Amino acid sequence: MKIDGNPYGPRAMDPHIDWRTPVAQAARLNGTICPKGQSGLQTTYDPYRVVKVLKRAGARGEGKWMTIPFAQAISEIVEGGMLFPQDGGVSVTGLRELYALKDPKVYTSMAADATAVQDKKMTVAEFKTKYASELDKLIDPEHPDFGPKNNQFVFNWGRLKGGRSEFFLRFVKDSFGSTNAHGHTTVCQGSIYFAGKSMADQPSGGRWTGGAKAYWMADTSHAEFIIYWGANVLEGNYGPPLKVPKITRGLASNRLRVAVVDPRHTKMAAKAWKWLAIKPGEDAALAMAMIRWIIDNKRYDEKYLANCNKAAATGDSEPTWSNGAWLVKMRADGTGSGFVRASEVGLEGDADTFVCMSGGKPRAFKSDDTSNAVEGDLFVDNTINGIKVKSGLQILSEEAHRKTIEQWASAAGLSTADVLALAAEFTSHGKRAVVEIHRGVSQHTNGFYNVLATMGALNTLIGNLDWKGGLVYGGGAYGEMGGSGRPFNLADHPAKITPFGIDIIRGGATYEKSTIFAGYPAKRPWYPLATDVYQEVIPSAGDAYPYPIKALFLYQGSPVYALPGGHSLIPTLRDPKKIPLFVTSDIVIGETSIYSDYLFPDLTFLERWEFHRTHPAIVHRVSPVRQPAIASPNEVALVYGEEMPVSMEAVFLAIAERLNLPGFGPGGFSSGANLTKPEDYYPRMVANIAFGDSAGDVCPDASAEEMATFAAARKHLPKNVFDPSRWAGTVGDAWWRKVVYVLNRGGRWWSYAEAWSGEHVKNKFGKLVNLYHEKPATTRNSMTGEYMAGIPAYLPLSNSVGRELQHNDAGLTMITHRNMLACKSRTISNYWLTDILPDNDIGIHESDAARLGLRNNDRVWVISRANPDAVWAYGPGLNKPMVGKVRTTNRIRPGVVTFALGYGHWAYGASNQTIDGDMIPGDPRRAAGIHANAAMYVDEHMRSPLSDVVGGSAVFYDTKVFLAKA
Amino acid sequence: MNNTSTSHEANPRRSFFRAIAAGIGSGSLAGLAGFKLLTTQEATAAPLPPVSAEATGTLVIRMQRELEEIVAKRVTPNWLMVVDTRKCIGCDACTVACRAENPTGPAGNFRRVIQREHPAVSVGPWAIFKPVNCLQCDNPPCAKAVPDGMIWKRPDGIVEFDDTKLRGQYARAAAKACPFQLVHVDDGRTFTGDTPAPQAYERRSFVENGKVQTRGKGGASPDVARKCTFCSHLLDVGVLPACVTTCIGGAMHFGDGNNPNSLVNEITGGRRLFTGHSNQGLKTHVVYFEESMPDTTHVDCTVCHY
Repeated sequence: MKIDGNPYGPRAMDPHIDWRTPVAQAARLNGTICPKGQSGLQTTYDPYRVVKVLKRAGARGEGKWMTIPFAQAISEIVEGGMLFPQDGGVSVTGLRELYALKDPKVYTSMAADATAVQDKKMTVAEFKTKYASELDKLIDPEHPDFGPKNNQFVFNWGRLKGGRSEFFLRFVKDSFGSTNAHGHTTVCQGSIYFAGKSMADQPSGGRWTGGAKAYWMADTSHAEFIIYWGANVLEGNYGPPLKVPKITRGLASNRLRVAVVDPRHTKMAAKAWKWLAIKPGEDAALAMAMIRWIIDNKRYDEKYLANCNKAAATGDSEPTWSNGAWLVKMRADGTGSGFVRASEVGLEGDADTFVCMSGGKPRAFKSDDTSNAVEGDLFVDNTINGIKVKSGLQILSEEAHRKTIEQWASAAGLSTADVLALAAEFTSHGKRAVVEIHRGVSQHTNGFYNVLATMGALNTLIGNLDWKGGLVYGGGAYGEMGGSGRPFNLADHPAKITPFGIDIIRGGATYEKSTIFAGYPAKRPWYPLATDVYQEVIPSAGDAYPYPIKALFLYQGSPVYALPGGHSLIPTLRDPKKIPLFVTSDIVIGETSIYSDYLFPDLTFLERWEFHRTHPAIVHRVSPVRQPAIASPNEVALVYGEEMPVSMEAVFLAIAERLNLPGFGPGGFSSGANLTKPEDYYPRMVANIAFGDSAGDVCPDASAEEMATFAAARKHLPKNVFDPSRWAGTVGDAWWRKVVYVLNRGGRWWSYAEAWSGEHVKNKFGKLVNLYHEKPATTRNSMTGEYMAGIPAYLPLSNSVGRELQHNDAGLTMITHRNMLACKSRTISNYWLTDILPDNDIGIHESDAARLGLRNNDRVWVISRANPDAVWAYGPGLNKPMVGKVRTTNRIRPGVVTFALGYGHWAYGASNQTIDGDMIPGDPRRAAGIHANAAMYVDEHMRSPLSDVVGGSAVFYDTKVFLAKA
Repeated sequence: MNNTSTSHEANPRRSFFRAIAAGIGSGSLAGLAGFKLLTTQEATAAPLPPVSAEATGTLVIRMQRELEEIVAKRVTPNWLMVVDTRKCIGCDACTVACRAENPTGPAGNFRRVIQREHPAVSVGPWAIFKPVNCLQCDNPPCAKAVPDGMIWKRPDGIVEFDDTKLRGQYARAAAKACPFQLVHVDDGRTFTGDTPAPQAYERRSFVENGKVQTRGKGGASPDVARKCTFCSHLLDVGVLPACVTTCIGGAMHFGDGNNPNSLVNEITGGRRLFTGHSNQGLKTHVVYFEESMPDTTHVDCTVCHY
């Protein structure tokens, strides 16, 4: 077996071939893929793969296991009881008991009344009277806003992509009724997503809603100038196979110029026009310097910024418009609050009618008005009807003028000349210049506002959104879940529950409204602007805040290893009182699944279905389809009478079968169709892709030749993986050949040229983009009690309660980076990669090394205030020291040290495990290198990873360390 | 003939290649007859905007067409690999693709990517990347280091080993003689051999030096000399070398140096090229062009590597 890139899609070929090219022709072309992809078969054919269900035989983390039959594991998890005699007679609550509230109608009614309690429109006593017969189904009747006991079942995931995500959430939310389904977003770049959401929210009924959890990137194919800011684009950042060919040909042909803002001289910096070695966490300082220069020198797009609504934007051929000219009400302390509404200044309108100054006079408008174009004055500082008002741009300008350009540059640790050159270049390419950011900007305590200042304000000032070569939102994916005439509605559910209650991470929840409001700071942060706060799930369970949980299911995630300060999660995971049932789905016993009570083997990416959809940097509409290419080595389970290799799907199906959950099994769809196996779901998604975007878009039938190729290419697969009649049966004869047409190509894509339309991208954001943010400006920080800023602001680094970070005089700021040869936590199994890079190192500037008396390959302890012993204490008597080798270089900012993620394992095949009494020895190659996340800052108040309490990001780059020779 | 792989083939495209190989093996070119590779332009109803001539996908299609023409016309090419180091990002996708195509073990690999951080002249933070594989010298030092007949040149320029003889001391002599350290001695070890579950894919059969092989077998002296063959087993059936097609940056170019209209001749025209150790008169079939991109600090490699 050899893995190659798919030439049909833009991720692996530039330009990609047309989707209608016959398979026989396409077969002769291999697309480009990265080294990890080239080594992908080693993820599957891994000597340390788990292929049978494991049950803990010792204490959590002790590394002692027994194999048990799949059906027994499901039975124990559902029924609970005395499952672990070694824990000393503790009875585990099974899922049957947690599946307490079942009636979707009661959910709807209770949810409304729990909100009424929060809004003080109903008392708790009234609630209890109304639901007297249901109170035993609640977590705590005194706190109706916690929701039902079902919420004590928590599902948490690392990498979860389309198809599987809908399948799993159908179980967790729609059928089981738990609100607790939380992803990993904040360990990657949460504050980008949630700042992006805030930029995309639209006014509706006086509130700001509807913004997708998404962000913007560059149209790499056409941009003339890109600032890669905290974005390691040649090695990560969704970059390599997709963006690299566009960058290298752009550079070689002199179409593209690149600047890199990063404390590390990245591979991109080696090919860039300019490298600005910024001080970590000072991204907003550089942005403010640029904003000030752009405003002072009028280098912004005046015409774009003046447009207050859609009609004005359309008149200028602008797909988007900003709220920079809209008027904001100012508080007495000089901070901005909400926007002025027309009615407040004597003009007509409703809660969504806003006001600008137009030629010095207040003028009312609606954002999405398509007929009355309104253009506003950009910089306004005035008083109307006794209300002190400023325009958003005015507030931004004042923020940027808090310091001189020299002072900002100095704060960022940069030369003024470099900053001025960067600002001048950025504003010299019209719409074809872009600030593209990633984790280096967002994974700080001030991440949310760094993002608003960089991706947000800088791009908005030059009005490059939706323009060819500008800032793009992505071409989207085909509607795989159905609707709009597509053949299968996979969201359909015969008794769908809409869960309610504050979730365990307090995502999207307002502290002040809750029934447990108790002043500031809150016990743990609330995240009114963020969801999927990965680093909150396990610590919140540990603190039982807002309530205790009973069962945690973790899918393809390793928060202990992947999170900064992940070591702070270990005591909670090891304690069955805090997490009474811990179930994981994994392919190897990893650094987090090592604490499992039950570990279910999952399918690897070569054995399963998945729908990766798209990403902002992909301007084409794309729906790649991952499908089983090889047989799974996993034990075969029997669920609903169907054979299938054990997988996460099999686990959920088996639990559903045992609990008789609606939405699964015979008649799992309200159409009467069954949902008893994965193939009842995924091929139907493929049929929806085949349908396309509209009735005229339907794809051709596979020819007889292609039907034969399809069958021949799968003849090595066992029937429980590929059974043509089983697959064809779920979509029916009318769709089967079209499904094959899509599967033969591995998906469906727009042709190359289709992504652009004139000077714009075809799939546009096409809406208001917020420069000023009313929602944060009128929402309190749950820790400080203060209102959050409504503009892109410069904020100093701080802990969760707003205090300065303490480092015990440690002097080196530690950051991390991605090497192309390692993903964050799962490539140590791929020996072709580790053969090239057997271990990682700690990169340090030559001047720092000289000062500390360190030389290349010296071994050092990484010591910090959070971890003075420099050790991962991961189990009873089990320790992994944080020792690594030094690499001296001039390719890093002095005062900063870095290490590549992915090494320094103590599980994932790196340590001995005992299964059924047999010791399986670990592989020392998999233990090589250092993983210094356990040196990272642990928040004093939370006793868990340091976080951006606004945008939710886990903080990687704000820790200072000592290096001591080992 | 080409029984390359394997029991766990899942990719329909691989099966297709086997079909072509079988066609050629039986003395027929039917496997290729009637196929015409469409460009994006031809396959798309709507006209495309002009794509940069340097776009990777366009180049891969062109190289594939040129190769298929060579196979179909039974022309003997003069293979030339041209590496545009400006476009190499040092990702090692080629290094790993090479292992996936040509099974090797911990003892060595056919290629690597050299990264240099410190040029002779100090220019501040700086890095360049240069992928290397056997340069298929017309005057190969490895051949001079062993008895005649163990190493020879194919008419298309590829240096081939007699792996039944190039073992033990001869293998070590050939490896030592390569000025680029691009010949290694394969001791037969595998990556998973010492783990609790050695994996079958490491013992799969493959074609090298014109024969079906399996690593780790071969009697008393398993130490066999191995190196890059430009994936000759693929070229012979009309498939480009693995390092060329997987190159993300579009740095790798491959084609017939004898054909004045080939891509490799077109892109090298008028450029300064370098190979390394040219003073030894090696006459390599791999050349590099390295000229600074407009914005980068440049150290002219041709100063030393002419």
